[in-house]
Amino acid sequence: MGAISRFMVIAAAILVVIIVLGVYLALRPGTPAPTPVVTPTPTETAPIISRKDTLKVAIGIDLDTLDPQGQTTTVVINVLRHVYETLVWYDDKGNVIPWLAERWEVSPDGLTFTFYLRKGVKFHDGAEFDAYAVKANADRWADPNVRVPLRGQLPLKGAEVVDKYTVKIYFDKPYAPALRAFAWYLLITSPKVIEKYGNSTITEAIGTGPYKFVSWEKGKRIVLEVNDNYWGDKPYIKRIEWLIIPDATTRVAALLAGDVDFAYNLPPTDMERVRGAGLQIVTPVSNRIMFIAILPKGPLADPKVRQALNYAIDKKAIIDGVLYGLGVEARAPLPPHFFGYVEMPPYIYDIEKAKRLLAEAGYPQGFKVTLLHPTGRYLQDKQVAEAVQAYLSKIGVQVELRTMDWPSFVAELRKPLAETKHDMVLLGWGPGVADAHLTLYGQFHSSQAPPKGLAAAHYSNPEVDALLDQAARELNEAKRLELYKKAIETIWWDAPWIFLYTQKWFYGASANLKNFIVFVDGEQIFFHKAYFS
Amino acid sequence: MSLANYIIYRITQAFITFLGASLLIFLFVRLLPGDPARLIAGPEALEEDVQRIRVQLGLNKPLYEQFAVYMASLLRGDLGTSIKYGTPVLDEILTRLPYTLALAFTAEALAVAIAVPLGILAALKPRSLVSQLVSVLAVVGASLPVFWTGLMLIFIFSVELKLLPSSGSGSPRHLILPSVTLAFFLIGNLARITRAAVMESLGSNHVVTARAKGLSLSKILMRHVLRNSLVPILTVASVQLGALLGGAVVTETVFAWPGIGSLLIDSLFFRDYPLAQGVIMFTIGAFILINIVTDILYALVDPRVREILWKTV
Repeated sequence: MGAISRFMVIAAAILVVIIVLGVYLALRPGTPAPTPVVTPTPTETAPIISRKDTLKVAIGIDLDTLDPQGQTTTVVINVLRHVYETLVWYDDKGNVIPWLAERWEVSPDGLTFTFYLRKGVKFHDGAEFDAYAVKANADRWADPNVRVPLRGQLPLKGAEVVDKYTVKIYFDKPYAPALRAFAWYLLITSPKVIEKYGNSTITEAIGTGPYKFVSWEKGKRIVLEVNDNYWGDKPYIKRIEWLIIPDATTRVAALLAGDVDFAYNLPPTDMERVRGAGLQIVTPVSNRIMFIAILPKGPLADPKVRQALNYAIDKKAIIDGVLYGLGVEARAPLPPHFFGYVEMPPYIYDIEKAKRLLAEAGYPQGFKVTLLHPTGRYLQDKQVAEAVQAYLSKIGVQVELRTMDWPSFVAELRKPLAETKHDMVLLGWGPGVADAHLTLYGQFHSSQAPPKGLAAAHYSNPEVDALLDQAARELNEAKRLELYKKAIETIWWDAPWIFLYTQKWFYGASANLKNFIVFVDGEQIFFHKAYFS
Repeated sequence: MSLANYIIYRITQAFITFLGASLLIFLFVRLLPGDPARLIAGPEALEEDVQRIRVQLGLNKPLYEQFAVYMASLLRGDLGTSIKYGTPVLDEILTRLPYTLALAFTAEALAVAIAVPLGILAALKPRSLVSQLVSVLAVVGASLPVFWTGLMLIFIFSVELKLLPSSGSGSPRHLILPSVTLAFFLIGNLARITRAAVMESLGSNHVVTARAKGLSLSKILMRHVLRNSLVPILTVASVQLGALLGGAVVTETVFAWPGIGSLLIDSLFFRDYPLAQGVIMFTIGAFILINIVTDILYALVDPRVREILWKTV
């Protein structure tokens, strides 16, 4: 046998082994009985609790900071919310409920919030939780010398101690989402910590929560241990390790191998494999609405054209085919669980209607546009952009895709209208607080158009501006809902977006992990009541 | 020139390279489109809050001023403060360094331990199965993407066989899969070089003479062949090691290994200029250092190199 042919035989043999192995791993049938999508509910019957009390959770990104006032990222806040608590919180219907504050009052002008605090709560460093602690945190949030990226979402002015357990927090002007924002943003740390760090970044996590912060090994893991002096119910799980596993496929592998008990943000393409292995699949609705912002340029300045684009896209097909079901069709320019949500009649997929509208607007032959989109930022973002491109080509609208990595994409987004090189943008908008103000103001108020903000559609409508301004100040919730209803109706038919879908998360959990709480707005998971069966 | 003088000469040269590189890196990192303050705050933050962060970070100052600050602190040995973490860049690098060192040296040692004997065997019997295997390994190892090899190993050894942890760090067991993945990538090239070098010395006159004298094969190998083959092997191994010390980005990501490579990627995605600069400078430093050490090693194993090098400089 010649040297060459022997080389070929060995190479072929190795190749065959690799391919057979790959095909086997890809096609291998899972455990036959598929588990249905599980939304865990608290069980009332006495649970059979395993003695296992260490929980391992895989997350995709590392923390950026432990500073309670420096938080921006959902997953990071999720980890730290096991350590830090807030004055108020949400029940499972999304209503604001007492937490570190037992009750509160809002002054008639909406400028003063008085919180009556829970007594006997201690921070992990032994300091007492009282009005002075709340004041220290609120003042630090308001201090312009402290790095508080999301200060604008809770624009409070400062605080005043009334007595040891009563504190007043002031605003310059009425801010309707304030209470919900308190529940989300004002994480409370020990006054000793604030005294120690002052304006500079806080690099330790001392809260009042059910878990104490133990360590953060950067790029590797965060360890929490149970707080034995917790004022509320004691958790079953004594120790939580949050492991940082950047690669989504590796997170699936870690879950399948039993190295972790819970894994965040798995690739939708692996859903069947996770289900087949008998694991729990958790797919809560996120706070992020996905859309294609349409800039008022050329033919796109005509609302008829923008409506045509909405009719031309089969959102249900994109959700089922491209997102593996991980989306909820948009029926308003915000997620369905937000305060202020109003369901609008859908733009039903209808190519003929879309063509007719284009013809009426004077573009029977269609036109060319450029769609800017990020890659690797949102679930299947590139694939969604490609699907939109294909749908629009059916009505004669030729779409050129401009793909960018996230930092470059944001830099491009910040350009003023005259400098933009794109006509449409695929973007997601996911504020922490599930309140219409934070989505609608950020995306449709003319003051937020780039370069001042990131309102990607450069939408400008004085009527909508007035409604949004009024709604932001309106303290009567019924009146506020009415204002948002009007604004949403106008926006919906004006169609500055192609309204796509609200993104869902895809998490996986081991079969025996019970009673973890999926937070009401779907953004976070809590383990302080979880146990292993 | 004495060895000491030679080392001083090389270090001075390295220092100049280092300064030039720092200017280039400073500029290149900032040429990337993107705004660190906005990336920290997220798209939903208000512009006024983002602007305040820009001012706090000094990003609103002109570029030459930023460069002056950067150089002044660099000369004091201060790599600056990470934008994302708010901690000294050097601390961030030093936390990740042990992981990178462990992975790089284990993978390279594994590669050398397998590739060199394999290469020698292949050279001794050029038409044997071993020799063919070396050729195939060189092609397969270098052309299979590292992330694919890594994921396959995870699915076989962790998910199916449940023998090893799927990812993470903390015990020697965690080190096995990532270093095997990397070694698999390195072995082929190293074995091929070894085979070529050994074959060349086997054919040289002094080896033929030694054989004619009737010396045993093992003695010839140890005394005459291997010593002469060391220089090319050393060259390839040190280049490989240098690259690994810069961070095995893909392997680190797949195995959630908290090394320098994942730190670099992270810092670039966040446009964390000081951190990215620091990591790249560190990588360059490691490369320069390995080059110096390799040159000194050349001189130690090869008297001819010693003479030429030290006389010409």
